[in-house]
Amino acid sequence: MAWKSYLLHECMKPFFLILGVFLISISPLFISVEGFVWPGLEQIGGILGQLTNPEALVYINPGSGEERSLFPIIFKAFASSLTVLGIALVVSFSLALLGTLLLWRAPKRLYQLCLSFTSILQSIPDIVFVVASQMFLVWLYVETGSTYIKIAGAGEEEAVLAPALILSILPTIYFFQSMLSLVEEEKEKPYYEMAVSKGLPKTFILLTHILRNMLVRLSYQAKFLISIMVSNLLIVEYLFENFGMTSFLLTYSQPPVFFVTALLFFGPVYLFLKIFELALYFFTRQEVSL
Amino acid sequence: MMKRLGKQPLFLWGFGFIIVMLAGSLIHANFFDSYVRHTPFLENGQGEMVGPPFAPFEHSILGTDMNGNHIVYYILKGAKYTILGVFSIGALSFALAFLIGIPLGFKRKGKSKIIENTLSALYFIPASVIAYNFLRPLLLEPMSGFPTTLGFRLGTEVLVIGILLTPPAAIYIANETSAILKKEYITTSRSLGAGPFHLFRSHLLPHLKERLVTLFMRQNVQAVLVISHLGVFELFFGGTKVEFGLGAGRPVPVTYEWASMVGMYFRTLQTNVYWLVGIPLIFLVLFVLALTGMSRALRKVLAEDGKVSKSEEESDLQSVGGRDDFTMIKGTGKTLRR
Repeated sequence: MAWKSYLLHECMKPFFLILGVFLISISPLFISVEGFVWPGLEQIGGILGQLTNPEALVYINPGSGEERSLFPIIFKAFASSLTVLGIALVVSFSLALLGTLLLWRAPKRLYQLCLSFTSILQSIPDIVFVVASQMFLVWLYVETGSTYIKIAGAGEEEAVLAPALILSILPTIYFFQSMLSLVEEEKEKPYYEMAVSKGLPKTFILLTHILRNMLVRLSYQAKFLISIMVSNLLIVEYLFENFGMTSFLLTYSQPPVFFVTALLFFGPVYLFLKIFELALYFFTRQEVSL
Repeated sequence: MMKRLGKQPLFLWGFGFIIVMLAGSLIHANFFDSYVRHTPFLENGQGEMVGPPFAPFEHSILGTDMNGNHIVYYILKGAKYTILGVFSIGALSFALAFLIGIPLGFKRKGKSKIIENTLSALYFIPASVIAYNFLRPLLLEPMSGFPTTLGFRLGTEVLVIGILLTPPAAIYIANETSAILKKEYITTSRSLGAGPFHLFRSHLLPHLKERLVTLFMRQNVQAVLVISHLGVFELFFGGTKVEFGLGAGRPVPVTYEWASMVGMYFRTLQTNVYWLVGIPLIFLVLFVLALTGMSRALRKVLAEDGKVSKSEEESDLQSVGGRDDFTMIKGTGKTLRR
């Protein structure tokens, strides 16, 4: 009965995850301006008590000390974050795929050049891309005097496209690099040689065989790519001053608020990965632990 | 080995950059008392006064900020904190990961799943957010000034970020260790009576050496990443000086480490000095590239040294382990191809 223990295991996982998130959200209690402190059990218990009644949760603006209730405004922030994340995911994936298709018949040297160039770019911190592209947008504005794209906004007029495009830079590089190296690995395999020797057109082989195998193997890295995007998203939202999840994770982050926000945001990401995992299992019969 | 390392141009460039910046910074601190040159105004040829900011190469080599402080002195001042801070975070998390990961790889039976699952929350919440929330009470200056010393704050920050970066690295080492321990020659060696220490010293270490070097450099790059995130969030390495009251300026770093300069100058982006934030950014990139270059060169030399087969080589610094952070190796041996 392997599947039963598997199922049990999978059901237990989220609980430990929630425990982990809880531990992280209460961690600021253990430090004060003078160093490490022990907050006492009452304080931790108090936070647990607050969490049993999520309707009454408030977030406090540290500047003005004003209290506002967390629900339903958090859903607006949630929607803003997911929109930016979704656009960025689609854009970066399609760009990388397009690049890979274009490079398919490129000379070997160019291919290798792209591969090593992207792998160098990968190690550069993400803020560099974000700040550099903002600098570029401002420079564009100074030089041409027109705003092609909105670089900042507030309230209803939030900038969405620019953050999404900037957020997609780093994932594009990652996707592109993995796709290129995976395609190259697929080329080494016997089925490719076989297909070539049968006289199938190379573009046909790419589209029907290599691409499919490559995408399955790429999806093993889904978790890693998502985590890169999430941490980059926080930077982008902070620097564009969008009202997204970052506001609740950083600025208004009292422990209960942090806990609820983290669950609300990372829960769907976790579910998405799980569904992905199951889909992979059904299509390829390969067990993946994302 | 050192001789061959000296012949690698990538290593020399990277090492040279780090050493030059570090030495310059220490000399600047010890002999010039971290002096920052200040030009409040200049006269141009027509007898008019011009105020700062001055663009790079116009008056000072890297330009000045809005108050006329020369950036090049800030860069020098911050270099020692950036480089030594990053290296100590990298070394701490690497050492912890090594001490936890190797024993974990030896006794990997699925008992540690509870801890592993709890820790995988770290995966969904970026390390920089946790570090921000944890360190904020300590690093933001209260109205009465810091009650703690700079050394204490730096030490705590290194400790916290180092611990946060440990779990992925430890699990990476554990996975690699248990993958090697599954090989046939290990079984043979075991049946001949080899103990864990012997296995570790004569079978594990030679195989892991190359990966460990890569991992160490990767931890350093991760440290740069977290510090730079914190810098953008205006929580500077070593503390943030906050001004209170009306007319208070932006928060100012204590140490002028490079990432904190990015955070400090970010808000000038939408004024006429949009290039200002780019200067510390260039130095951060150079630092990361130096680390990457050194890692590549080291790996190349080690690969030539050992008899590690070509297929086991990693393609790059980041793509190595990041991908299988927290991937749990299934006991049945149905592992994924990395």
